[in-house]
Parts: sequence; C-alpha cells; structure tokens
Amino acid sequence: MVRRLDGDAQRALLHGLTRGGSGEARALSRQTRPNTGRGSIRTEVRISRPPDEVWTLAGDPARIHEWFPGISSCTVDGDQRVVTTGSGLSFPEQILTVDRLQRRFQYRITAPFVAEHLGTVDVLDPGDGTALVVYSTDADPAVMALVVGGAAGSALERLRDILEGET
Amino acid sequence: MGRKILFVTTDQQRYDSLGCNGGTLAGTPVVDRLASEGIRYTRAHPQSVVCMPSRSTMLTGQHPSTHGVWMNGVPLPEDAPSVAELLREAGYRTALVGKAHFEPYLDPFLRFPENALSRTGTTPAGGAHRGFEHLDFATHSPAGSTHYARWLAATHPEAVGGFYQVLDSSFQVNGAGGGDTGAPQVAVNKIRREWYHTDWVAEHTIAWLDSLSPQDDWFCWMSFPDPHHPWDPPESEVARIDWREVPLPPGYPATAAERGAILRDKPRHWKLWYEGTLVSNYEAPASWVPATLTADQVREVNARNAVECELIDEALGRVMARIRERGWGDETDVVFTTDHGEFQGDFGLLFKGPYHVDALMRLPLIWRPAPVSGLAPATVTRPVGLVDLAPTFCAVADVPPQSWMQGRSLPVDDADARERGFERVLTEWDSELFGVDVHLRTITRDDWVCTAYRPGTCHDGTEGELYDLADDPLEQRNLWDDPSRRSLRDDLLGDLWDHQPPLRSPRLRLQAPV
Repeated sequence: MVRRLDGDAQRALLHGLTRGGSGEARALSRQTRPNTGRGSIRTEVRISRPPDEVWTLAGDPARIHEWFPGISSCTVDGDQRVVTTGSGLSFPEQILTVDRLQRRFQYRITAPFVAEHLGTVDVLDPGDGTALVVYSTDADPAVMALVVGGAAGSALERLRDILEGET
Repeated sequence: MGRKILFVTTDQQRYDSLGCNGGTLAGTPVVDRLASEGIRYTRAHPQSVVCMPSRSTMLTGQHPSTHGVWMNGVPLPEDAPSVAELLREAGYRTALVGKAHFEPYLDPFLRFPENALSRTGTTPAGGAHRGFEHLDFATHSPAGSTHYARWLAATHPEAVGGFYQVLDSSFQVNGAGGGDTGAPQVAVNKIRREWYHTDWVAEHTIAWLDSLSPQDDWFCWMSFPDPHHPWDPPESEVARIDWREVPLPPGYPATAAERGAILRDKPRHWKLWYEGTLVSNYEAPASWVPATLTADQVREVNARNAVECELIDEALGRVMARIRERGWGDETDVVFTTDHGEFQGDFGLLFKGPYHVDALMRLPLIWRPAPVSGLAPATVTRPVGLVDLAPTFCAVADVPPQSWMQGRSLPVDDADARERGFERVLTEWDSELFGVDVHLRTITRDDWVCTAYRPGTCHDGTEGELYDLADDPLEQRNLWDDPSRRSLRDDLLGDLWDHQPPLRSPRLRLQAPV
C-alpha cells in the first residue's frame, strides 16, 4: 500500500532538513540569484545493448524500481504513478510521455513541494549497436533538480549494470 | 597495549577562536591546556575549505584531487582508503561519533549508507563502515537521517522546533535572520543544554569508551557539528557573552567603501558575491546578500559562535576526565582540529566558499601526544595540512604508513619540520553548480599564500591572489599583479604546479547539493 504524504511530510523526507524553525526568524532582503529558481541537470550513460532492448526496461513506467536506487516500489494507475523510496515515503507523479517510436519517457513529480518538474528519459541510437541513455531533470526549486538528477545518475549506472550483466 | 587516539574535530572553526591561538572571546581552557602540554601548529591548512572534501582528506590522507570528493555532494566511494580501517586491522577498536559527512546529506531516497544507518543502529552491516565499527551520527540540527535527530525526536520532540531551520522552502541554505540583530542563520533555541548536539556527542563518546575493556586500544573520532552555522546554541548559555560588547574582528573593514575597495582588488567573484550578483556554491544562503551584513550582526554571530566553542571545550573536558578515570590518561594521544574556517565578518562576509584566505584556511590544530611518548611541548610554525593527520595516526599506532597516503606524520617541532621538509601546503577548490564553475589552486609557503584561478564562469584563467602573510596578515592587499613580486609569484606557481596531486580518474559524479 502506498502512503501519500502532505507537503510538510514530503518536505521532511528531503532529509528533514527543513524541519524545526525559529518563530522569530525574519526574512532578509532577497533578489534574483543565479542558482535559485529553476535548475536543470542532465546525466547520461552508454549501454552496450541495442536501444530497443534498453527501452524495454527504461521506458516501462512500472519498472523504475528495478533500476533506480532508492526507489523500492511503484504503482501505476493510468497516467498516475506513485514511487516509494527506501525510507517508505512516496512521491506522486504524472506520466506525460511514453513514446516507443522516439524511445522517450517523460513524467513530472506532482508533490506540493515541487513548483515545477519535468523528468525525461531518452534512449538514443548512436548507430553502433549500443544505446545512449540520457536522463534530464528540470525542476523548481533548483535544488530538487540536483537531488533527483543526482540520483538519476546512479540510476543510469544501475541500468547499465543490469542490462550489460544480462548478456 | 598501545597508545589510544582521541581525534576531536569541530566544524567550521577559526584558528583565532581558541585562547591558545590568541582568541579572547571564547574561554577554551581545555584545548588551551592540551596545547600547552602538546604541539600547537600555527600554520595548519585544509586541502579544501568545505566539509566533504576536507573530511575525506582526514580519513584517506589524500588531497581532494586524488580521493575524488571534489566538492560537497560528491560521495566518497565506500572502498576509498581509510586510516580507520588500517587501525582496525591493527587491532584497534574504532568509532566515529558526531558528524561524518563523507556522503551527501540531502538524500530523500536514502541511498547512502551513512543516512540509512541511523535507522538500523550504530553497528554497520559487515562489522565496519570506512573502518569504523561504531557509528553514531549527529549534525547541525535535529533534521536529517542521523542518530541524534532520531533520538531527539523520540525523547524530546518538544525541543525539535527550537532549532533554526537550516534550509528554506526552496531547499536552499536558509538566509532568514534572527536573534537581536536579524543576522542570517541566528535563532533563539530554547533547547536544554544537555539535549543539544554538542553534549550529545560527548555523552555518546563517553558511552562508547565505557563499553571498551581496559586493555583495548582504540581510535575514536569525536566530531562536533558546531560552531558551524546555524548559530543557535542553547539560549540558557547565550548570556555568557553579550554581543553588544564583542569587538569587531580586525578583518572587518569598517565602512562599505573600504570593503568595496578591498574586494575590488580580488578576483571578481568576491565582489559579485558580496553584492548579491553571484552565488557560486551551495554553502552560503543564496537569498542572502553579504552587503547587507551589519556590524552588529557580525558581533552577534561571533558571540554565539564563541558560546558554541565554549560548549565544545567543556564537552571535551568531560570526555578527557572520563579517559583519565578509565586509566588511559597517559596512553592517549589527542588531536584537535576542524575541517575549515569561517569568515565571521572578515571582508564583510559570512560563511564560506571559493575564497582561499586565512579566515577559511588557517585552522586550529593541536596534537597532545600521549604523555608516555615523552614528546616535549612545542609550537610548529611551518606549514602542515590535514592530509598529514592519517600518517600521524599511523605513527601513533605504530602502523606503517601506506603508499596511498600523500601526507607525512606531523612534525613534533620546527626543527623536525625543517629536517623533514615541511615547506608548503596545498589547498584546492572545484565547484560546478547550475552552470557556474569555479576552480582554485593554492600554495602556502614561506609566509606567502598564492592562489591561481583556472578558467571558469567568471574567470579567464589569468586571475590570482598573492598575499604577504607577514606584512599583510589580513590579506587585504592582493599583490598578484605587482610587477615587483612577479618572480616570487612565478616561483610559487612553479612550486604549486610541480606538486599537484594525481587526479582520480574517472572523475566522481556530483550526486546532491550537500
């Protein structure tokens, strides 16, 4: 059973670092800074397996827990997916694109602590019998892009190990 | 039985915060006594001025280029070399209590073993993690996957909310201010002192020591999260130091005009950060503009920081007392240091970043050799680095230093340092965050500090900094472009490039902000 959490709890799962807080804290002056707002992270891996074979695993929304470290399970209901992390917390997501012809998968995290998110997995064909898998993460707040995108890098390495290990 | 090792680290503590180093704000009698009985280093530098790379250097005895943790958020590989593992293999009991930070904290997937361990206990699977058989973690707040966070939430949940909120709603380092002056990362924390993480670390260290048999040899890394921001010590202790009576530090230029002139003389990212135009790294609040820092805010931050230093000193005193009660006093080496420094008002700045000056690079380092060693008290003025700690622990334990270690056992006095060629210490910085990259390489030698900038977002590779530490200890006159210093600069640069450590390949991947 997937446990859904409200915004505060979801925030707490992000290592809980926003928990606590002083009631007398007050904001200082703010201005636009280069590393606030939206962030974009791209990771990639070359896998020595045919692109269509890679797509079979990477493009299946219901199998992400097989290759994404830290995701222990997931459920898919139409265009809604909920992934559960190793700590037992869950992220609601919306599946946007499952394009077998382009080998492109896109989704967005819809948890309230994310103002904007787009995750894109592309399985590209370099033409040499291998696959180039690109995992792009765009998010506001920017830190979320690095948190998810950083984990995605490990996920691609795991994907490669699984697929190349199957040969 | 061999010598025991108590390795004490703090986080982000300045050299001048200790009485033995000339500090006047915090009372630090315990560390001062260790210094008077042991060896005090006046020019100890980190190999990185942020936590993860610096701590990885302590553990591996390698420079960041070699161990591969090139910035915060890059995890140290689990199979990285570890001096703790060497000691464990030599029969030492090993523990790390407090802040580790070899792996990223921001980990909602709970991918990293250190974060996962807080849910399963203090004994890692397989019997040891990075050579430590006992791991009991804490960090700067009751947030995150640490044993301290879980303990506080379970036993004193009413105290959790008193801490400063480390991150803001965008998961950036919080810039919100508090206290009397609205200084960033300052908050009134009503927590009882005995529940605060400083005392928790000491008490859990004592508990682990109590679990040992009298015959055990042991290596205990006691790692206090303070005085790193947030500056939210227990409010019951804050009255120790009235911030209104705290003098401004010598490195704080009194007027905005002075600050501007000094910063204009440095590579451009200094002033860009000061003015709020550029934030190149995650370690300072992105929403906070340093130019808004007031003199009173500097005073309040420094007062609270000093209170935190006093609490650490007192906690260390309790651990030392317990060591003596166990009968280990004569056989125990104590090494006290920190991972990097803090601006605390120097140049009108707070926090840290790609700025290789003494505020961040000159560290407190005390080695009180076990009295049975017979080593005489000394002051070492020649440059040493945190990279030298791992070989020092090996020497204490009579374990041969390993070829992967890039430092050498700390010199016991200046004559020893001269004889063994302690001439230079290197520090490096690399950061790449959301399209902004900064790369520094620094050498400190002969009372000069020279930093070369590699090309990055706001540098073309020709910039640099050159300071005469003897004539300009506040590092306010950058001599990089001074023609009369050109040959000296070239000599230092030649030395710097000749001694660059080997690069780990392939480069490790950034996996989280911190």
